[in-house]
Amino acid sequence: MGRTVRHLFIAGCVLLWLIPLYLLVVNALTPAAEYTGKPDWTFQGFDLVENIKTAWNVAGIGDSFQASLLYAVVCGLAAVLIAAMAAFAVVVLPIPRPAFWFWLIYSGTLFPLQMFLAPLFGLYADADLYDTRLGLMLIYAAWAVPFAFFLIRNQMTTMPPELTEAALIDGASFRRIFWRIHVPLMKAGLGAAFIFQFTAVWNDLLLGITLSRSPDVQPVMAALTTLNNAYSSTGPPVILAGALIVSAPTLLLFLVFRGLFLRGVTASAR
Amino acid sequence: MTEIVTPGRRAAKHSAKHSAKPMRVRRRVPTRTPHHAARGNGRLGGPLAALPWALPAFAFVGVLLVYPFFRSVYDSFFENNGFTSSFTGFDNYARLADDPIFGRSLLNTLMWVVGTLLLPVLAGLLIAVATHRMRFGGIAQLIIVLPYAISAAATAVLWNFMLTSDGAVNQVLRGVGLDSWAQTWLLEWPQNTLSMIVASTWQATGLNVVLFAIGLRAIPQDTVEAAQLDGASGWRMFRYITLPQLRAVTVVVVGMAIVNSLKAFDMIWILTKGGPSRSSETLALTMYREAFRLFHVGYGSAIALVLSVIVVASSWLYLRRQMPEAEAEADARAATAKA
Amino acid sequence: MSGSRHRLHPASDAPLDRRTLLAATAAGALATACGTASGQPPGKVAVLGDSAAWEKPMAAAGAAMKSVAGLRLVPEVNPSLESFEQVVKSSLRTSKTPDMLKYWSGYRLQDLARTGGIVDLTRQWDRAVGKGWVDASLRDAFTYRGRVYALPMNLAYWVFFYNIEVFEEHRLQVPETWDDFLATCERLKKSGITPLHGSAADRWPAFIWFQEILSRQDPQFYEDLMNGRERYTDPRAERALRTLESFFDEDWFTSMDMSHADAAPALVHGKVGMVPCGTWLGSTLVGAGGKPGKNLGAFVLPMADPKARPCVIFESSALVSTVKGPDREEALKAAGHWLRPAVMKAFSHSLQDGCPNPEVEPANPVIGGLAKKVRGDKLRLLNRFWEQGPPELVEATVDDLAGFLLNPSSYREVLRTMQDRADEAWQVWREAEET
Repeated sequence: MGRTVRHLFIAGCVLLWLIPLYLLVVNALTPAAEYTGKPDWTFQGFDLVENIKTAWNVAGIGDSFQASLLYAVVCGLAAVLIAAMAAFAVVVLPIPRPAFWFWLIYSGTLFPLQMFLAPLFGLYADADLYDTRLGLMLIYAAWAVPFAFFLIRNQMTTMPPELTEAALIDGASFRRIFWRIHVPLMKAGLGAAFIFQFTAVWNDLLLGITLSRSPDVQPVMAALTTLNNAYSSTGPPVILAGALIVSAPTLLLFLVFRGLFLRGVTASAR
Repeated sequence: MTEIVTPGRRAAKHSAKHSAKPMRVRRRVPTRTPHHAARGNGRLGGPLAALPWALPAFAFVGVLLVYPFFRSVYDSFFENNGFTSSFTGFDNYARLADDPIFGRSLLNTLMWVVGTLLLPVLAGLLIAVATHRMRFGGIAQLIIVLPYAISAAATAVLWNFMLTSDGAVNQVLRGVGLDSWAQTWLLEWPQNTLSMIVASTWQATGLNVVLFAIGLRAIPQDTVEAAQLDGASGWRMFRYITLPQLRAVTVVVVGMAIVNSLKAFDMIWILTKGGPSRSSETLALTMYREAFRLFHVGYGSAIALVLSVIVVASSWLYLRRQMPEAEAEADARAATAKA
Repeated sequence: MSGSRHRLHPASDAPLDRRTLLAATAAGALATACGTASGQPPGKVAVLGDSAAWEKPMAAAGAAMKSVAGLRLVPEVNPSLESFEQVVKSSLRTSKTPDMLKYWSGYRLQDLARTGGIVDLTRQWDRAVGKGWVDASLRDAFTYRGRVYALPMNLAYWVFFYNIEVFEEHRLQVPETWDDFLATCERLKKSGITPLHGSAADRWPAFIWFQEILSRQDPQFYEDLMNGRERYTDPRAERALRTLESFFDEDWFTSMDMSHADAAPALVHGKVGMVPCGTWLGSTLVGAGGKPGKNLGAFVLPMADPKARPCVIFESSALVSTVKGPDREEALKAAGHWLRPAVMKAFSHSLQDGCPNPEVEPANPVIGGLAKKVRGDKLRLLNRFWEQGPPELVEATVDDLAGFLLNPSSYREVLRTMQDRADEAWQVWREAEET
């Protein structure tokens, strides 16, 4: 059976996934005044630039774009590093009670996010972290650690222990083993972890608006959401255009990732 | 020490149980995980030398996530209407038992868990396997992963386009003459929950595809070739080579699927806000609504705790069974590679 | 292999990578440098709101206030209504609370006032009334225990938007009586246009039709019911829902999942006949291609009971000053100047909505016409459903009404549920009142 079925299956999936994406693009191009209240299947005009401009200006995306880029890059990197170190400790190093450490760090992803909001606000108000970029960076880093840790830890367990042992025999320090053996060998996993955490931080709304209110601290999703407000709805075409431009960094990252990491993993696996 | 860190014992037990199946026999090779080896003699600067490596993660998660969580648990024993607070013990938990909304919400949550395991996880695996080493497979993967990069605001508008009465889905159904299938997807239970699971499949499958694709590419070529020499192909190849080799990734994907589906919130919040008439609420939404819309902070926290217990318990049940094997798997592979 | 381990050296390196620490610290320092402190410098007062549409009007009002009082208003926005309310409630007790904020009037304001976290503005109110800067009949909506706790920001009326060109094409007039209104719906339906927009999408809009019909059938009953003096199981409440049921029987409504964002373009493009909403929907309608006076008009729904004094639902946001805000003195000063005609004019002209200061003419001709009619005909102003009654009751009854809209024949059961909730919620509210 194989090939034909396989191709048909993939073609079907791609088609199913493309239909909403197609609607997204077509309607983001519709001039705001042409939109009639239901989705358009055909191009009604080519007002992408106009729509993006409206979205950019109405929502003031510019400032928060910068802030979010800072959060996503710094917190994504920090989380991956912190998580990789913790995974190294739990998997490779002789840490007492690794199961305890595993569950402690992993538990960060188990509890529902909405539950943290009120106590976090209190904590941030007391610590003078409320409405600061540092405050948001701290919570984003913490928030991103557990999943990255889980992902990296499981990848690390698939690495042959002989590598570590051989290095230890050569007298390498933990630090050396970590940076010279584990990090290079796990490039794909670390890269994937970074992308997922970057995307998660970039797309966060709830933490950002609970813990900040100044326009230059708030994340970009806060700005984007203002487009969808009942009092000032700018209409679906503008929201879609705004969403497209705001999704650009994550889209770009996925494209770069494909080229960079997947090639890397194939090479190292052989 | 719990089972997670003693893979040797469990793996041995496990492989004995399954030893009848082909391709798994190599698990019997006595194995040793790295940290076991290292722990065997305490000459690496003692057990405390590893602590600083885990501390940053512990500090971040402990202070910013675990502490607020217990703070909320503490709140659940109080009735707080926003400005006064009184101790009520387990009253909030007793109220759960006869709250009809809680029952519906539990049922919806269950639908999300089952739906998420069936759709994004299974579809993710199939797509990853089908596109593996296929011409244009990379492009197919990319298209499927794109929705994951799109923000919630766009997803909300887009799926409103799809699912409203005049929306794209109904337009298509009417276009092909299936008028009777067209319906108000978001207004009635259980269609609203089901169609939102489909929407979330569209968004979340890409992540799983990427993870499975990484796992597939990491499968040693010689393992595959050896199996091919033994005459394995198609389903047998998938079942006895690919699937076991993907275990480490599967644990991550399924583990996250369980957690995220139990906590399902975003897609529902942006599409229906749990409505109409609270019919599409999951536990996470019910909690959010009670605590932040109705300002029954204590009651909301009680729901949150119940939800957390469910998440922790199901994760533990799943990972306890799966993770030792993941480690044994690695050792087995290492052993195979060496041999 | 295990034998060879004797040669191992004990690990002596500090396990934390120093470069990492340095990088993290540097990033942190950078971030602190870029971050803002929560207090505003002298001469500036922060106003937190839940809508980006109010940012520019607030800045405009700030510029006007700068020239009359030397103070600048700095708008801050939390775009999610739910998160906004949560942040306001949890911040009132801390010094991180904003200096001023935009809130709801009515019971929601009372709920905030009884926390003790917001400032009594009675003095500022009385002064404004003395100068004729504010419509004195709005006082009730901003009062808790006889004291005024907020100043009105806008004054939106709840009206029916319609497409003038569509009405002309089908030779329809703006309905003057209830029967006119019914006839208009019938005519539109016959012409293939969905006469009325109704919605349960986004939750809150579910109350709109109940509010409109009930207040036109019996304004006094509406007022009493909303204040817990009457019961939902009353025949008059049932009559309102039965009327709505008959509209459903005539198939006059859009599908209940059509949001306002979609209803606005549908009205402009002539697909939907009438959309009931606050006058603030005007800017969305204009964004969708509507031109006020040309293809976009609005009217107040006529009374179903011609003997009752005509009424209109209003909505007015509340400008609140907090007790613990970092610039409290300046915030109070700003409140004193808020209702000045110059400030109000800058604000409401930028917002394109009605103004609580009768001296200020609305910039939008449609809203100007409505304001003239409301003031000229001395319409009775009734506060919106959303602001009436304990907030937790409103949050729950909105969902009940959504249930009714999806299953109109269930009105009896829905009203019973609503009354059960009302009994409980009013008891809790009154108990809290006593403490």
